[in-house]
Order: sequence, then C-alpha cells, then structure tokens
Amino acid sequence: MPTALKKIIRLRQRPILIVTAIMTALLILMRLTMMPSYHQSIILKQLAQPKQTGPWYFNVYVNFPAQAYGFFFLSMFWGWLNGVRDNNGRFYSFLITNGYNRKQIFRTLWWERAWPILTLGLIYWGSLTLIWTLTLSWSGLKVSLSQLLLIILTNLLINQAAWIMMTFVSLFFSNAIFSLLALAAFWWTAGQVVYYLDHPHFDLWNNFLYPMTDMKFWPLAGIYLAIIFGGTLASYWLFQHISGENIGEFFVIPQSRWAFSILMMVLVAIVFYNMPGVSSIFIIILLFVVIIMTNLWSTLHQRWPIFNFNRH
Amino acid sequence: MKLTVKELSKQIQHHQILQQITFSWSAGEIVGLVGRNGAGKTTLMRCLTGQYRIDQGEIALDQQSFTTAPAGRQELIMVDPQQNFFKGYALKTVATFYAELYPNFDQKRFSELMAHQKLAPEKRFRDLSKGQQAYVAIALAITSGAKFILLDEPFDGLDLLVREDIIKLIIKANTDHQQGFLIASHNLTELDGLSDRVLFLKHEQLVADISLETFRTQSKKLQLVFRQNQVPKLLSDQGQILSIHGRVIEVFFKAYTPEIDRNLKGLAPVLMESLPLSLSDLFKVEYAYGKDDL
Repeated sequence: MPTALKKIIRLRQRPILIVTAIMTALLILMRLTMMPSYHQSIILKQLAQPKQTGPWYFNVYVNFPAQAYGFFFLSMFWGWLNGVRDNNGRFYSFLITNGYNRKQIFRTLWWERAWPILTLGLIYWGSLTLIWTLTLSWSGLKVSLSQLLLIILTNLLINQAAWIMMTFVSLFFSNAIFSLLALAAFWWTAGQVVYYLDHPHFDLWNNFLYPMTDMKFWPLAGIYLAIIFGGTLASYWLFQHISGENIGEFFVIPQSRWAFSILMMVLVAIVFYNMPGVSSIFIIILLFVVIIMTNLWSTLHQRWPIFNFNRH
Repeated sequence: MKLTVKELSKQIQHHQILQQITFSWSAGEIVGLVGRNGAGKTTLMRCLTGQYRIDQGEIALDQQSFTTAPAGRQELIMVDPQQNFFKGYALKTVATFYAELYPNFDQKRFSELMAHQKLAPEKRFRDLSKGQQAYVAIALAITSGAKFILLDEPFDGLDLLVREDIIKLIIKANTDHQQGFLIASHNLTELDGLSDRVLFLKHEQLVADISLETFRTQSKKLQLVFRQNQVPKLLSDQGQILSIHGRVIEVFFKAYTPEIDRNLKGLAPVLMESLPLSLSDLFKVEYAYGKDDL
C-alpha cells in the first residue's frame, strides 16, 4: 500500500476516528457506571448455558448482542459516515485523479477503515471482559477461556461486517439522507417479509444481531466472514464503477436503481399480500415514494435545472 | 512531455456529451477550450483527469496510455469548483494533502504565494472569499508540480484585480516551470491574451483546433465600403459577413489569400481597412453565425 495514500486517508478520516474513539470510551464508561457490578457479571454467569454442550457451542442470544449494540452502531456509523463524506466531498475523485489505480485505492481505504474498528473493538471487548472478570472470580464464570475468546472474535467479526455493509450502502446510494431512508425501508420491509413468510415469529433484526442461540462457532463465524467477503467484493465492484457525473443522483451507478426498485417492489408485494390492510398503508406509501423518486429522479434532474447538480 | 487524446467519447444519462474527440497538448502550451454552455468543456476536463470514466477512446502521456500506466495522471491536475472535500480544512492542512500526493509539491512556493495574498495558513478554505478561494485553488494546482493544469472557468465571477493576479500566476508558471494550461472560459478577452491555441467544441465534437498565431497571420477582418448598395457575392462566398451598417460591411476571412485580396481590390472598394482580430470574432463566426466549416 503506498505510504502517501495511507497518510492522506488517515488525515482525512482523523476527525471521525477521534469521535468514534470518544464514543467507544463513553460506551465503556456507561457499562461501568450504569450497572451495579453484580449485573455486570450476570451476563457472563448466564452466558454459557447452552442446551447443547461442547467447547464450540455458546449462547449468543443471552449475552453479547445486548452488550454489542452500542459498538455495533458505532461500527455502522464509521463505515457510513466515512463513505458518504468521501463520496459526496469528491475525495474518491481526488484520489482517483492522482495516478493510483482503483484497486490500490480501495485496498488502502479498506485497511484504513478496518484497523480502527479492530483496534477500538479490541479495546471495547477487552475492557468489558476485564470488568466482568474483575467482578467475578474466574471459577464463578460459566464460561471457558476458549469460549470467551471465540465470543470476542465473533463480535469483532460482527463489527467488521457492520462497517463493510455500511460502506457498501454509502457506495450504492450517493445521497446521504436517501441512503439511510432506503436502508431503513429495505430493512423494515425485508424484516416484515421474513416475518410473514416464517410464522409464527422470526425477527430479522434480532436474528442478525443475535444470530441464533446455542450456535456453534464456525457456522456463525462463517456467516459473518461471508458478509465481510461479499460486502468487500460488492463495494469493490461499486468503487471500480464510480464516475463523477453521478454525484447528485440517488445511486452511485444510476442503473442500479432498477435492481433496487425491483427488489423493493417484490418485497412490497409480499408484504401487501400478507399484511392486514390498516398497517399496510404506511409501508405502501413509503415504498412507492421510494420507488417513484428513485425512478423519476433522472427525469426531474434533466428537466428542471433546480435538480441539476452537474455541469457538463 | 505530450498528452494525446484519441477518439474520446462520453455519454451521460444516455446523452452524447463528447464524440470522437482527438487532440494533443504539449507541456508548456496554453490551450483555450471554447464552446457554448453545455458543449462538454467540463466533461472533457473531467474525462482527462479520470473523474469521469470514458466510454471510448484513449488518453496517453508520452504514448503511455492511462489505462495501463495510470501513474501518468499525476502530471494532470484540474481545478474543479465541485471538488470540495478540503473546504473545511485550514490552508496548511490542504497543503499537506497536496504534499502527500504530489511528490513535486513546492511547499515553500505555496507559502510564499499565500503570504503574498496575506492569507494565514490557519485560515479555513471555506472562510475565504470567492476570489481568494479561486486563487488558492489555482496556486495549489501550480505548486503541485503537475505539468498539465486544467482550469474550468477560472475567471468566473472574479473581480479585475483577482483576475490579474491569476493571470500573472499562470504566465509565471508557464514561463518559469513550463507548465501547460487547458483553460475553459467564456471570457474570450482573457483567453485571447493567454492562449497559444484554441479548441472549439460544438455538437459534442471538436470542430476546430486553431493556433492563434496562425489565425492572426492567415485570417483577416476587414471593414469595406463599396460604391454600389449591393453586397458583392465574393464576400459571402469567401468570407463571413459579421455586420452591415448602411454601406459599411465587416467581413471575416478565415484564410485570407492573395487571390482574395486581388479580387477584393478588383471590386474597387471606397474603403478597405483591416480591423484587429480577436478570439471573439472567431467565436462569433464559429457559433453565432453557424458556419461549421471554419
């Protein structure tokens, strides 16, 4: 990785890194101050009570996600904010125009985004583990050292997956606000679809964060590694196709609006088919706004100068 | 060092913006880029620097294509008003960005230029006036050491003094450091004094690539008055009539040959006077009168 590129990316993301580090410290402090020490430790006491036994099984549902929410959102924030800031501020263009090939830039960006989350994640999980173990004697813990390490590793993977997915979102949608709206619309609708297709109850949100109880380590790690790998490849493909004329559009690659719209329409159709009439009105309106806006934007863009952010 | 553009084409949202653009540009040469609004000047510049992916064609530096040797792009820098990632930074931080990416960035020269404009290094870019921002952006491009600098409407909305400062900066960089400039501007008076060559973009294509020296030696603008009230056919056949006021006719001849001179004199005009040629005349003929074959 070229040193100059590394230095300039670090310089660029320094303010966000400082904010993320402060937030991590606050999350650790909140864990210290908001719960009495008994409650701190209760998590680990309950942790390893899987119905199945064996060193590679652990109960993810009981423990980690509750602890992980804060840092999970922080990892998402890191990926999304760096992504939209660099895309909209034309920082990517600045790098691309400076003689580095896109692969080199993407590799450097990836690593410079990954290591801060990895480092802060280790600090976060290290601190929490320290708090837990200090409040309990080791013999009081119902968890083995290897289980504890695997749980920490799983959460480090979850955090990496979180920033990579948000990097993908920031490269897929070129408009910052729209990227959040679209993500929320997609996530909620997809959750509803899963809910209706998999009765009595399957909550996508919870199942993403609390993957499954009594989960064996490797399949769980495999899921997150697949998200990391797939998210990286998809983001790389989008990065390869960035072209400055699309800034101001909703999508970094305008053609992708069709893929997004079709996906959303299929999801809406499934929800509409399954949902009671009253609650479906909101989702129908929301999604039709998304679909209509994404598809009519180009027309508005060309027809009225107020929507035209580009100069040819 | 020579930049070659070969058959470059670019579509944006299914509209052809550039088609089969071919030209070359040597370091140390100041080239004007002229065209009406929406002609594709900014798009051409962004294609050259790689901000826009081109659909077809090739851009090469000393015959090394940017596709296979992207490092060559370091010799190109564009002052783009839309590149706003450094607006929130102090000038000294902006300079650090450039110093990291451009190995030949001249920090000392940049500091001198800022001091000359009484701009403190701690001042944020976004807090500068429009003129100061334009000056700083051009100073950054010049001190980057890149041999090919692309300026998109550098004089747009600037007052006379700032314009003069920028022109001085360009001329000094050109003479002292052999830096070439491609300047897209509607300000033809400024371009006229600066450019060695002018490229005309029209209908997505490069319709003319004219050396101003050749233009001034080969072309002529004449003021003519004839005894008869009728405009001689020779004028419209061989030249482009710019205006008619009573019997006073202003005509532009792109290639003013001795034969045209002889034929004109043969018509025994009452007045036949050469007028100073300017880029504006060429622009008017090219665009306002719609004569494509200039």
